[in-house]
Amino acid sequence: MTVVTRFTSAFWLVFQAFDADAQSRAADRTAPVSIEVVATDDSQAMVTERFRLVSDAAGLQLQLLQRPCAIVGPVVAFASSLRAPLAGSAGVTLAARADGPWTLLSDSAIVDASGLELRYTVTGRGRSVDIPLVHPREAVPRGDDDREGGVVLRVATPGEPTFPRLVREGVGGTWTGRFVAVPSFVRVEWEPAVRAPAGPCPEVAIDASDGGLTWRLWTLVGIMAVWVPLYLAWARRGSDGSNE
Amino acid sequence: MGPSRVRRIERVTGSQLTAFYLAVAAYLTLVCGIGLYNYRRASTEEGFLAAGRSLGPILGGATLMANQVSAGATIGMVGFHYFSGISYAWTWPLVWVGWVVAALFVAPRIRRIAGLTLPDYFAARFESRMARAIAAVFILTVYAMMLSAQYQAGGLLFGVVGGMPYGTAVLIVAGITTAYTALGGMYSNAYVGMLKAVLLLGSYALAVPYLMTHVGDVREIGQALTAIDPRLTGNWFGWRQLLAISMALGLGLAASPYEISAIYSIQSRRATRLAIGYSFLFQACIGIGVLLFGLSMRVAMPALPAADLATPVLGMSVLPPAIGLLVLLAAVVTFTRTGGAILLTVASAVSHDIYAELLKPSASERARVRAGRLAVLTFSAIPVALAFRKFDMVNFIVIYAGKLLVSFLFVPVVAGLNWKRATRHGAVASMLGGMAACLVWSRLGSPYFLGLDPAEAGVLASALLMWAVSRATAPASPATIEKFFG
Repeated sequence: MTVVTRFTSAFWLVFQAFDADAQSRAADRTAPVSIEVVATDDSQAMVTERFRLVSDAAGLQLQLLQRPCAIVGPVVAFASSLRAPLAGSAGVTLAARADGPWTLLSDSAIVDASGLELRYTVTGRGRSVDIPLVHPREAVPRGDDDREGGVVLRVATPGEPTFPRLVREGVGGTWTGRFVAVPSFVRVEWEPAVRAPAGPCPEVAIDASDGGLTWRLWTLVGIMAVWVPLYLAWARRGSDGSNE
Repeated sequence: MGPSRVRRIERVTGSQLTAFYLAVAAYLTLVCGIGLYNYRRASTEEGFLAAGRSLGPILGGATLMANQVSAGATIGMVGFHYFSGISYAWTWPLVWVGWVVAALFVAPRIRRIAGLTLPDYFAARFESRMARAIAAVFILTVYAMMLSAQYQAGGLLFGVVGGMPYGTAVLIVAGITTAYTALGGMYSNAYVGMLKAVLLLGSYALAVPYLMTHVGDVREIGQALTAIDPRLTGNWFGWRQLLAISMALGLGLAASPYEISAIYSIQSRRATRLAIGYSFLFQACIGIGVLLFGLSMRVAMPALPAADLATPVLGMSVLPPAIGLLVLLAAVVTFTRTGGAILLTVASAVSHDIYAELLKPSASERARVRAGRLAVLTFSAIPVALAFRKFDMVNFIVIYAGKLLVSFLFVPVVAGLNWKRATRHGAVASMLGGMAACLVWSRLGSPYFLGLDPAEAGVLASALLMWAVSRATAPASPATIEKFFG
């Protein structure tokens, strides 16, 4: 057992050394993308997203995913170079175009910007609300290693965010998480004790094809479900035979 | 967001990291325990390389599955589905055709020689030390590539989860894999294979329903993916490509050295057939889980910087901590376990086929086992160097290695076991010609030179050479023919 103890102890020490190193390095940098969500129990959520871009925003395509029971208001963009404060630039409402369940956002005003701030509100109903987050259609070049999560998400709410994984900050109603890319939505759930917003759910009707995914998936499952018992029935037929 | 807030976030995520490290440490302790428990049983060459031919159908099935379901599946294939959608999933049932070939045409006959390695078969069937040597060297080459894919996947996972540099993460993964393989040999591989099956099935059974209830049902995911790119829910890969990939992977499995080593380890012919069936069952569940992971992640986080990050990010940032931990641990077990199986095959090629059979036939049993453990330690360095380069996506590396493997191994193995007229010169020509054709086609083909995929060109050249050269040379001795066909 001494060998086992030494072996695992050595690995444990190595892991801890790397862990401490990673944490100290991470503490010294700021996130290229930061997202603040303030979700209240009166069915409103305010979202502010700040993008610090390595290259100009020219060509940056943004989108958001429509979620059931969630209505997203106009997305207002504030763009400027990093030299000027973002809040000081004029806001522009981005043009929106539906593409299946996605809403594509664009505006020529954000061309040439190396910093971008987006603000919008989300109205939801029910005890569980999905808050869509605007995100780039493609990975944003960050000049950073993939492993370093460049997106910091902070949600302030009296409810509990259940998707994606966030961690409560202290004892308050603020939750945070660090990601390598922007999640397409945040789900916030309220405890039954907290009064859920009343009223009918403003269901978003999405009339789009699933591209045949459903039948393809079930065909695949069906093939596997037939194949395995058939094969096992054949394999059981023969005698045990010798140990050859 | 300033540094102070980032520091707070790092503090709370630190506890998740600690949980992950503790889980990995517990897994390593368990593996070492299995290794030490079986150390005496693995003190003979048959014990170390073939688990004393003691595995039953379920443990054997878990071993076969655990060999096949590598990091290429749990990390690489999730990334592949994230990047290319559903079409690659059709390779699962197509690859199973290769397993049926193994059950019908390879396993029953190859068990007759009671060998330990695939080159043992070459020596016995073709009465040729040169055939044994060529097979051993080619296996070493291809498996270095295959092992580098495991290390690359492990490096990505540890890099994202632990926030450590990729190179350091690769070294740690290589260290873990090497240590546990050197300690336990095939006994460890078999039991860790079972652990791998349980962990994979358990974590997927928890994670898939969670993802479906949060991200959306199949129809909703399909709608979102179709809007991104219709090929994600249709045919990103055409049937021509899927058949070529499946042929390479499936037929490659039928003659794969580590699957044949596993077949040698199973009790009987019937147990081998059943083990292949149980491995189908494991693979079906894992295949569907891997598919839904990749598709869900494309909707939940559509702009990952690299598709291969889908599993690490899923486990670390998307799923609840306990389920995420299980998914990450299952991935760690996957690449260390498959890496272990590959290392064991490599060790056997060096110690058994090259050292004991070619260089020093008089070596004692103890010296052979020592050479095997030394080979594990020394060979581990080459794939590390390859993994540092990150040549391609993990699954592309696995596919290319599979194409090379099928090109030089499939025909000599299957023809040798089922065609009396196959000769030693035919086998040597077949291996050399198959490998050369696959390499040449890889350089020329974009994507199909003369309408052939590199693997198809390799197998075709290998088959033609086997037939032509065997017809022109003297057949094997009557004793050998009697042994394999009597």
